[in-house]
Amino acid sequence: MKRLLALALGILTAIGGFVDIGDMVVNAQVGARFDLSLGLVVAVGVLGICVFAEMSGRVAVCSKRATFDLVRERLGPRVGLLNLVASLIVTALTFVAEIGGVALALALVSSVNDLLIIPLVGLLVWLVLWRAKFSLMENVLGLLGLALVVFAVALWKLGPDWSELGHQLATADKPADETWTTYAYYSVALFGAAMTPYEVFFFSSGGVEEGWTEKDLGTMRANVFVGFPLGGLLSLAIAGCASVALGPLAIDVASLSQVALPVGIALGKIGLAVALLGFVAATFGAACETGLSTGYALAQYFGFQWGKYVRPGEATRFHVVLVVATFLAVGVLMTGVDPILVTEASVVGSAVALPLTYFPILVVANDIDYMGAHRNGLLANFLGTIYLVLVFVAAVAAIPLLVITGMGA
Amino acid sequence: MGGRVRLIAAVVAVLLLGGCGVRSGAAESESGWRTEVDQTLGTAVSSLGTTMLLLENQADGHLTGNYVVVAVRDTLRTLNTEAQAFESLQPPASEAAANRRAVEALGRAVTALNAASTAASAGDRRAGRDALRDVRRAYAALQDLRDRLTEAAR
Repeated sequence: MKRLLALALGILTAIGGFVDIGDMVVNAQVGARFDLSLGLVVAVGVLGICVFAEMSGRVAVCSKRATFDLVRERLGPRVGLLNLVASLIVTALTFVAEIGGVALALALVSSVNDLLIIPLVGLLVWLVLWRAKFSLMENVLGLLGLALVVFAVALWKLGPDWSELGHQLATADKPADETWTTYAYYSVALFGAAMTPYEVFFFSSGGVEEGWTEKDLGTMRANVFVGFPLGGLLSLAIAGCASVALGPLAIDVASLSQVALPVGIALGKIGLAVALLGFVAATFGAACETGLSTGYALAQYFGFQWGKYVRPGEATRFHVVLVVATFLAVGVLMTGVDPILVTEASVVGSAVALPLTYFPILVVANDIDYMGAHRNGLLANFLGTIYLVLVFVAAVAAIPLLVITGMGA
Repeated sequence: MGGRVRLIAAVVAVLLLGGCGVRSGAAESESGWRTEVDQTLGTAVSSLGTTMLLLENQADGHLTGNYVVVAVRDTLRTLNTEAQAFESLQPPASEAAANRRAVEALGRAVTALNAASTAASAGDRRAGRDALRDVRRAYAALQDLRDRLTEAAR
């Protein structure tokens, strides 16, 4: 019974923790402009993150060590450094975007200017990273993130033409007033948002933090293969809501307030309040995950003590990284930069960094010395290779598409 | 001393020339201007459409006051940024009249959103109704202008 409860909790947390600011903003933008015609990209991205999260989780279980640690050892310091730099830049950018997202969500509740809220959010994030237990942080924020299910309810309440939505999902076509280059740009952005590198590093480091053993492999796989796809459905619900409520009025999503609007229209003040709670939980949870991921990445590469399973005094350099990262993120946001722009940049940056992040995981997951009997099988290698080709194409196309379309304008 | 003065003068001259270079760019090409006007009017339509939904649903009691205040402020900021960038463009001579119409329409859109923002902040229902009427009017006018300019480009 206890094990079943743990399984259910893990799945619920995975669903609630799956969506972050990048998923919310990009899915709403795409829904309003392209309806659900890019839904297949979300599905492909979700399957991709499942494949690599399962691999990195298995690596953590078998080796009791996290990904960066093994990448440096297996592929050498130079390749490891490349992996570190690419992932760290994107993760730091995502961290900035998530803190900004929390501030924007709280501004929608309080009507206080988000610049005044940002330092408070930074302080709260740092306090959670410093003091809160890993499992408590993950479970509470993941469960509160489930409030985003309100988008699925709102979509149902908005009463769309379901057969039309189904048709859009099944066909890769664009609206007449959009170009194929913007279509391709948003495909890459959606793919990058779904496959954000920090998710995989956080997942494997979390496995080490929680001391996963081979007995936990089943739970880990259930979290990944059930929780993540259900989280992906939330992304599609956000896109669906934007498509039905905002698309007909030719509304482009440029702010977080617009993402929540369809829920208010469909479900009124209570629905709106639940959506805003979901925003705060999802962005705060992702801020904690990305913040920790910056610390994990540096500590695992340079080999100093890391993690929340030891007291802060025993992992001082790890905690110094967290403080500095939080301070820098707040500093960047206090310049007045639009967090939504940072979010858009982070998802495209994520697409660029994907090959450098995922290739080493595939290599390590095939190493018999680390993985023993649990090294990659035929299916994992087949999917992993296909996804490496996909992430390579996305990485090459990302910057040219960003320039040609003027960030999807 | 004289050398230092000359150096400072040279730096100032370079900065001034650089500044002039930035400000006195060539006129946009016709197709470039059309892309810009389409994008800017599209943003304006989007901002007005969002505000329309916000005010309508607030009047129906679907949205909280704080949320509407921030959301309208967001749309106003988006439109202001886009409108200012558009106004700084130098249109091609053949599009001067159309450019003037677009700038005037954008000005009316900004005014309507300002009124909506003020009404939302004050929580004034009557002003909110008036603002909604103006926003609807500006939305329809901008849609119409955008369609006409797009049509003329074909």
